[in-house]
Amino acid sequence: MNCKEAENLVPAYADRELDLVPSLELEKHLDSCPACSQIYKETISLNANIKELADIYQAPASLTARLKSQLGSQAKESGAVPIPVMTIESQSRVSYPWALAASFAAMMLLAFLLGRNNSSQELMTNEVVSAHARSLMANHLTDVASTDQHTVKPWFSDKVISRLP
Amino acid sequence: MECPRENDSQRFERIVLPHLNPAYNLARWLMHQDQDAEDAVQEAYLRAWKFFDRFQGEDARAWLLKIVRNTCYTRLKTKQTRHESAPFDEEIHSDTNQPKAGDPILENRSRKALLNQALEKLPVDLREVIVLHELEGFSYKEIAELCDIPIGTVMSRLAARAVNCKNCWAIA
Repeated sequence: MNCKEAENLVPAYADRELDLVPSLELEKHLDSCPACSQIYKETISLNANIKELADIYQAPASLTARLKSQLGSQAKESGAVPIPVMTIESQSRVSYPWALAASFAAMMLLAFLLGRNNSSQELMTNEVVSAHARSLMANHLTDVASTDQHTVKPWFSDKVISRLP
Repeated sequence: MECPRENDSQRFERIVLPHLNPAYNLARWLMHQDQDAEDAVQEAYLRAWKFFDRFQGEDARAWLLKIVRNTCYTRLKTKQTRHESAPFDEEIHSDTNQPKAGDPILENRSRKALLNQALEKLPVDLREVIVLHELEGFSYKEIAELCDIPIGTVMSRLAARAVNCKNCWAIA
C-alpha cells in the first residue's frame, strides 16, 4: 500500500468503518510510515473536535406543543374515516375488549410484516457477496502462497493444534 | 389491510415524537435558520403521520430523519429557485473573529465559532453526512440508506470533512 491509498482509507479507518482486510493492510502501512500515521492522528483529533464543538440544536418547546396539538387534530380527522369496523366503534366509546383485540391484531400484523420482510436478508446477502469479492481482491489473510507440502504443513501447525497426516 | 386506527396516534406519539430533537437538529443544519427549520420539521411530521401505516417497526429515528431530510431538500430547492443566489453574508463569511493567543477559553470559543461557520459554509450534501455521522452517530451504512446514496459516496463525502474543517483552523 502506498501513501496515496493509505490517505484515502484513513478517514473510514478512523471512523472504524473500514473492512478487516484493508484495515490490517493500512495498519501495516501506518506502522512503517510516520507521515501517514501523523495524518491518522490528526484525523482522529479533528473528528473529536467536530463532535465536541459543532452546535447541536434543540427543538424549541413551542414547536413541540404545536406538533402535539396539530397531530391531535389530524388524528381526530383521520380517525373517523378509515375502516368500517372502527367507524361503528368510534361512534360510541371504544370498549376495553375491543381495544385489546385491536392491539393484539396490530401485534400480529407487525409480527407478520417483520417475518415477511426479506429486505434485511437481501442486505445480508449483498454484504456477504461483497465481503467475499473484497477478500478475493486483497491478499487473503488465510491464504498460503504455495502448494508445496513443506510450506503448507508448518503454516498449518502454527494455526491449528491437530496435526496433518 | 385492517389496521386499528385509534391506536395509531398514541403509537405515533410514543414511537416518532420522541425523535423531535434529532429531527430539528438535522433540519436546522440543513436549512440554516430557526424558522425554516421549524417549518420543515412541522411539515415532515405531518408527512410522517400520513405515511405512518407504512412504518414497519424499523429504526424510527432513521425513518423520521429520512422524511425530514427529503422535506428539507424540497424546501431548499424551491427556496433556491425563488432567489437564485444567496446574498453574501458578511457575518458568516468574515474571518474577523480570530482567536487571541493565550486565552484558552476564548480560544476554544472562537474555535467553536470557526468550526460552526466552516460547517455552515459546506455544500449541503457534505454537511448532512457530517451531521448524521458526528452528531447523530449513524453508521456509514445507515447514512447510505437514509440519504439514498451508495456507501462509497458516504465514505468520500466524509473523507472530505478533514480537508474542509482543517482549513478553518489553519487560517486562525
